[in-house]
Amino acid sequence: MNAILLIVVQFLYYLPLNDGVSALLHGSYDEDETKTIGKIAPEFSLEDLQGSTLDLSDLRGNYVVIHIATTWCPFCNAEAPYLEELSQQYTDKNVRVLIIDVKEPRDLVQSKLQDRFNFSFPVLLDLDGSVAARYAPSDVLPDLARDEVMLASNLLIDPEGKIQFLSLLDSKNFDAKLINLKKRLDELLGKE
Amino acid sequence: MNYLARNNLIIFLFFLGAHFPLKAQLPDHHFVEINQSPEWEIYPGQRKNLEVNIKMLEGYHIQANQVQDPNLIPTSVTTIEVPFNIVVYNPIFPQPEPFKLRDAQDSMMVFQQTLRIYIPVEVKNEAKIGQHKITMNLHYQACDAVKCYFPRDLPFMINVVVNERTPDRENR
Repeated sequence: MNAILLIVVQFLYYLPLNDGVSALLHGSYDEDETKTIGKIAPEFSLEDLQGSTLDLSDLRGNYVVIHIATTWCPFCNAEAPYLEELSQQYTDKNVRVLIIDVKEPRDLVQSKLQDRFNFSFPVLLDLDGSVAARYAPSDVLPDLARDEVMLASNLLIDPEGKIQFLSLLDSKNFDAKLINLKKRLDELLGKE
Repeated sequence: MNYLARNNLIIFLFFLGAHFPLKAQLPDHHFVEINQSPEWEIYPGQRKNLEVNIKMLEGYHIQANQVQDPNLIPTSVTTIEVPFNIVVYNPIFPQPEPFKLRDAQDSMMVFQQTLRIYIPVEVKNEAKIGQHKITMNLHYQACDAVKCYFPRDLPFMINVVVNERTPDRENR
């Protein structure tokens, strides 16, 4: 009897851990991801192309624009010049731009992204796709791997670390010129 | 290890294990479907172009077989396994269509809706009479209007029936 009781208690004890494992595997980071906007962005710590580590928390106090990319993604390549333009336009407005490249080796990203587009902002390497996966809302393309869902998407995180824009939720068509993201950024900057 | 610790470990491993198969069972989602004849009849010494239709799911396109931008991943159809005395030549692709992203500087070439390719297959005179299977692989990278997806491999089989030449069959 005691043994059965112990198993039941342990089962209940491990349920939250079970959810945690599920979140790790399926990339969810919040119970209600349909409400991504306004939620705290998941923390990450990634290396850039020079091998320096950048933590999202290092950028707290800034607006952070993140583009999730791969070298072979035509949408990402089309957007690249506009990201650089945005970075230069907004750099004195407390805005930092990052690219997170998903599941590609450093040398490839260096030659096909950095050398080609000469970004003035960091390109980070999400070698196993786990960071991209953690940003994927569970209700968007639920039958796909979570890291895949975020490819070619843009995020805007405010100085408090809250997600204020996710292109997957707001766009019907790809927005290479980042018009919608800039609009949201200008709204937020205008409130300050 | 005491009784409680051992039980905790067993239960932890049970629930951990219960989740990993879920991930392993995730279907390999594809954005295309392959349609072709169930089997192709070919005679020894004959060369035939076998038609394979690759249907894109609605709203998706895949890169052309030749890409101008070296960053892009071209669609390819390659041979994985081919029976002895059967030769598979390079597939013949149709002309791709230009696709321009809104605000992008250049357009790219893609296949949309249905891609009809022809795979030239030659059966040597020495080929065995009977059924043969050619295993091919479609490698493609798909996008829709908003985003792009990881490149994928979709193996497929072509069934070839090598029949003896007879006047009756050849007149069909």
